[in-house]
Amino acid sequence: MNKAITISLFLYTAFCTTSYAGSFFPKYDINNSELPKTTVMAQCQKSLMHAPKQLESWCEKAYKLGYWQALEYIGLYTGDGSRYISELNRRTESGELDPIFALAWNYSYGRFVSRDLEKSISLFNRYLNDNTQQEKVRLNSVHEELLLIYEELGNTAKSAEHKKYLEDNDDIKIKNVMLKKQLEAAGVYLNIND
Amino acid sequence: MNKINTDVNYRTMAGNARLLMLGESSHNAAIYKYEAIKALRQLKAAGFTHFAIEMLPLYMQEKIELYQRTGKGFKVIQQYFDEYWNRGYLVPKSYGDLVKAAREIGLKIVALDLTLDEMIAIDDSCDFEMARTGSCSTSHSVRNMVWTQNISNILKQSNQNRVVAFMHRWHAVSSNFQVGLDTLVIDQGILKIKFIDFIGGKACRTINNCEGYSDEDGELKNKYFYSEGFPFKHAVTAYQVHIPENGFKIGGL
Repeated sequence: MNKAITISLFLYTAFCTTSYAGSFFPKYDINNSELPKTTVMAQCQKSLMHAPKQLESWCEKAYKLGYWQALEYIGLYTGDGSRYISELNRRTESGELDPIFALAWNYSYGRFVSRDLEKSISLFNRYLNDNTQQEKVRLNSVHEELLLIYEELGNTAKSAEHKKYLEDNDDIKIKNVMLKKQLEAAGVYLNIND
Repeated sequence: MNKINTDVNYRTMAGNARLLMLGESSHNAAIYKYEAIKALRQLKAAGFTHFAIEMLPLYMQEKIELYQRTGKGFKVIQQYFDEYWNRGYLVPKSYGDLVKAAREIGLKIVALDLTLDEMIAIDDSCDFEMARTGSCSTSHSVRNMVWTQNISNILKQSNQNRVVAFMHRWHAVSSNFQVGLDTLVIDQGILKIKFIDFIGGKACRTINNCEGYSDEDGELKNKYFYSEGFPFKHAVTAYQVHIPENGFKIGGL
């Protein structure tokens, strides 16, 4: 992906704005009951790299607020993803799409579970079948994962099928456009060529 | 646990890699930066040419190059670390020492990152729901893509170029669905990549308030060793270097 992107740093140097204010991990009072859910979720995510000792408290709070993905961060920090996998299994049984995707991903890489490519394929296909909203980028990422699995399994017919899907659906182009758009929206003037 | 090897040799671990990622399992441990300095000395001798670092932003590249050429202007680099990377006792200094060492060793220093303001702006334009559906990327992912481009460009400029890149482990490999450099750089057609993760050691908030970071038991806690592998998803050959909790004296610790 992003093979066609080239970035000129010269323009960047000329146009960028800088600031020395702020912190990678903003200081919020975790006991403040009025903190927005999104802030708590962000604190949980950011703590993985920027405040690991606070991870469990922020992520438990986020989990209580309904952010079930917080269990993944707890798993990454503690090395024990059993709660996260139980949550994914429970939600997958009830047909929630994101947990189906997440569980498939974990089986694909053997993260927190024993690696099981057949199970992963089955879950990714279930995601594709059940996903009626057609979120293109997410669908592309499922096809990417299936492509990698089938390549590893040596199934050339299936891997060709997913490769063609990605080519037909402008996967690289979409990602490049998205990156360029996001950088420019943030005031980062990099020269990105598709 | 994989077999441990007490002959910690970075040249051996690097092999013929063109990109070697040194990942720190925590930003809070100053000792990881000093371990990186040790690695850089061996890696320069093994033919590495560039040192790329997460903790400096792209806009400082010109200032870094001035420092690289003349030895002048280090103060502004240290100020940046003091302002943004004060994660504990000696941590900003250790980042500064790492940059100084890279220059002295003769590696070309490359800033990788966006600024904090830019990261905030990216995240403000991409809320959780949008990121979930993939209609935009979080700043973490955008940063990974920008770093990938920068590193790939260096490696494509010349076959002689070899890059050591220092970053948090969750940039080197995928954390959740946010793709790590191990995968992104391969997608750029660069296949010779290795990853070394620093673990163990200790981190200090003050000179008198330190905490051991080793997950090992018994004697291993205070042993210096490496082992092949990484306990989470990774797309390249990976090693973990365990720093002893009671090892290496820095700043009186």
